Amino acid sequence: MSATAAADRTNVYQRAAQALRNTRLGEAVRRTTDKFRFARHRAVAGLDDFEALREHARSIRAHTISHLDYYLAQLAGHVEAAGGHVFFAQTAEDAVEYVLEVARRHNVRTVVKSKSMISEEVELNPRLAASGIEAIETDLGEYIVQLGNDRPSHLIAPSLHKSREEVAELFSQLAGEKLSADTPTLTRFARAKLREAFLEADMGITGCNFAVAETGTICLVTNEGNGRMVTSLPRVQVTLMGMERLVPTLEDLDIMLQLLPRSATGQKLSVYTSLITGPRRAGEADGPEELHLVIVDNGRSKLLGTPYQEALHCIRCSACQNVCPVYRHIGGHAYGWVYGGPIGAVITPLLRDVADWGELAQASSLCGACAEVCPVKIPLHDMLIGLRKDTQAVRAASWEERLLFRLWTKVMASPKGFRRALAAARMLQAPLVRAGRWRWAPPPLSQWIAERELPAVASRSFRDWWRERAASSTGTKAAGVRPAAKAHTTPRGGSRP
Amino acid sequence: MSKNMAAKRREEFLARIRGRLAAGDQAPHPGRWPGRAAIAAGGGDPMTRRAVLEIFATELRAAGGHLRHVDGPAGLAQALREIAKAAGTFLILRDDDPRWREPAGTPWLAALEETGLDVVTPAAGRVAAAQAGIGVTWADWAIAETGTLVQLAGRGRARSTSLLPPVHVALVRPERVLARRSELMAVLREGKPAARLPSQVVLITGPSRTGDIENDLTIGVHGPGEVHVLILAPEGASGGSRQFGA
Amino acid sequence: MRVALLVTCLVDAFYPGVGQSTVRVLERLGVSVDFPERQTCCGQPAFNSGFHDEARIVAAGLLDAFAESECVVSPSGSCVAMVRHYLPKLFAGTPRETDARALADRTYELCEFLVRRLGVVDVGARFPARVVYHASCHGWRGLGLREEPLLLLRHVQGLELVDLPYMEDCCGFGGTFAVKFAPLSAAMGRAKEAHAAATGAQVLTGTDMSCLMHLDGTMRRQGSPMRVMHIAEILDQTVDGAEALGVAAASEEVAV
Repeated sequence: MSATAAADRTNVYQRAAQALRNTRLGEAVRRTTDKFRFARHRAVAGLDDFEALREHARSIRAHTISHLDYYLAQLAGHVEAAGGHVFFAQTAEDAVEYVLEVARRHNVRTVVKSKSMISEEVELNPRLAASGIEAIETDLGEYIVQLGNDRPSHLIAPSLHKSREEVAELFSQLAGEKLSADTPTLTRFARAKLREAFLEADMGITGCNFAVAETGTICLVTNEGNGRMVTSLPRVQVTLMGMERLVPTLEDLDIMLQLLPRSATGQKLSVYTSLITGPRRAGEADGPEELHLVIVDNGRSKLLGTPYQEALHCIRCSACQNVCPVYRHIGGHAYGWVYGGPIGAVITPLLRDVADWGELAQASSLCGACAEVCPVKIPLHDMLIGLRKDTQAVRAASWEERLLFRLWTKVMASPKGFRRALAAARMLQAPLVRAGRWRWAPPPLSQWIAERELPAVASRSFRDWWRERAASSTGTKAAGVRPAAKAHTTPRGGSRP
Repeated sequence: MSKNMAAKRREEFLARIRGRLAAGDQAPHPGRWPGRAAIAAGGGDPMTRRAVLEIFATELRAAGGHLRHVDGPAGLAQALREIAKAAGTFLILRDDDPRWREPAGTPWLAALEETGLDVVTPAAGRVAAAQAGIGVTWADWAIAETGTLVQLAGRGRARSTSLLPPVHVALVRPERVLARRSELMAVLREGKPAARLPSQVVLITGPSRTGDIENDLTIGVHGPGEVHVLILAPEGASGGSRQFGA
Repeated sequence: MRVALLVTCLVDAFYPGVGQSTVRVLERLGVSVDFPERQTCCGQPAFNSGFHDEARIVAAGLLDAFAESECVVSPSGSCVAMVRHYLPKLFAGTPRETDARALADRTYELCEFLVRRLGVVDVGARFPARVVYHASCHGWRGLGLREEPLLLLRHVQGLELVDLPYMEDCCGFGGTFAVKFAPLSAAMGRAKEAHAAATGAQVLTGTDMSCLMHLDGTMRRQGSPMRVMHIAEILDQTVDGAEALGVAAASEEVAV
């Protein structure tokens, strides 16, 4: 999409500040993510042994990724045995070229797509358009985003940043009449419009939630049914999958299906879970005559054998986005590429380029809410710390920050340095603090006081107090005991729990 | 692209992965998930058929589906007439499923004809199929824990029968209701180490839904807005129409 | 029992009262407290910012400071999480790895120490006020500090503990995040303030002065009447502390 390609040269600080000023955006993001996260909370509370299940899922993912070459070969063999075609795409360009080639061979004019983040990643739609092929997004949220010439801002609710009024306006333009902004009307309109597209399209393009190596099966999870339409009606099916999105066995898939819908929307199971093994067979009334599986690397192999390999365990459930306080305030677009939220801040620099995108790792308060909900236990906040370090190896931090930490190291390296710094701070702050309020402060403290009050350095530090206390008494009671508390200083053992 | 080039490309792709993985640890597979494996193997507390059916009914309703038991072909005809009347349709799409022609199936097919509604099969073409108000399928399995129907692709069947019409009616034999999804996975895999699954196995859990407009839950966006499950009483079962788990 | 106090640089410089309260609470329970003056900072600011060499230099001082201590207690979940989870990683493969691991194993957050090590939930405090507890992320998630602070607060005489909605949400402090993304950090702080205000509490407490500094600053800027106190300061109150601190005296009647 053009907006993606634009990948504006703004930085994440600017984009975050801009998103924050859009208060309607924040409200919309929080409304939807709240629903998701509370539903998730209820859903996992209903599972016995959820923690053990997460650990089991983590182990399955760790095993799969550490034997990825083996399972990919197995998967490809079984897809082909079932009559499908498999293409290994090293780069985005390889993937796009292959899809275009298949489309040309079948004289494809219209493509219906079900949700695929990887097709966003390889920027498939503009390339299809450039070849005179119309690609229609059929997930309602993706459809809204496409009509608005916009980008998805959430892994599973791509249009959560759009209000119903905005949707009504987009649909009204298409309908050539004013549609009312109520959800059933808008949904009915999209159903009718997209139904035509499903029946006419020559090719269906899908993403892939999981592939199953032992059977050569593609698993798609949707609620609307568009994924089923796309894999039932057109003559040709093309499925794009990130090379990490597979599990060894159907039994493993069953475990993932315990976790994915619950973590995403709080459903026990999404409405439609399709397991697709090869194209349609003799005597079947519908289904694609030809099936292509495109397995995409596009930077993923760079993570293998590094401390970030676990980021490939991700099953794209969006739970980390829904609980992330940063994402919940700024939405997905501020992250600047395809993936927003904690997982986006981790994989964007890794898949693309750490020097250019490493700053995304700063967009976190390191609260750890993401890692806490991740169904496969990816230590996202630890990866963000690692990325902050790795970014510096390829692109130095600002001179201000480097200077600051050099000073900080000098100050903190010894108690003497610390004492001196406290003394200096007391002197320097004296003219700046009036009635407990800073009137001016140098950077970076200026950033702090722009938003909130800052305490002054205490006139007597804790260590000063400790020394005075030790000097004034050989015992442990006298000094520093608050007078009001005197009457009650009798030691009490307290009750035991 | 030539076969050789494709093979070379694949080998390079996998070799790159292999090379990078060499630096890391090999994580063992965790084995079977204890809870589910026990159930799949028939261990644990075997639930009674009745209990399984009750859970199925509860979960299906929670997912927004409808369930009723029909006693014999007359009950099926009656149920279909009611559903069609409520949906305002006269056209039924049914799969050309071999099960209609089995000895145990023909009375049910006759019931379909007795409804007085027009009944077409996918052979009538996509346009007719798209106009049908009700799609009738034989569910291959059902899963109690999530209120799910399981439809396999196969000879004479169309994926779109349970998808295009605004109402989906699935016929389920009570003995086909499994307690858990893990049992389905075991059944699909059973005795066929490198088996090919059917070209499509779809798990259907309630009506089509979306929350993509302001997270406002809406039913029936692309797929059916109504899902009715008719539990067919076993041959010779007596009693009137019953409601489970109501 | 003898413990060494890891007071934290923030408390040392800005909130010495919190350190004093920590000492008094421990001593009141018969624990003798030592303060190794070699300590400065755990190194977290640099570590979290990706300056790991700098963090190592500073954290080495901490390893030295507590080399002789059998048990280390700190009024900060965040600094303890740094010591427990990240110092072993920071020093991995260096000659001080063993020291780092050993320190990680014997360092406790104050509430954790009181409840888990001492087995005390009633420290003999009295504080008649309506209080809301902010679970800071590094304590709540990093250390798994769930019930301990709440148990201690529930046993304070006269204290009415009210639930904070959205308790698990970060307050927005986040170390350097607070200045790098200042407007965003502040927006998160205001959200927390709004949730706290909705409870009608007079005092907001927590286990970390870093979060509390941010929240106190936010509240003061917003003109909120709510007071911010570290949990050690509350546990240190042994008379009618609320009055001594100027919290509305009416709370006595409210708190049943």
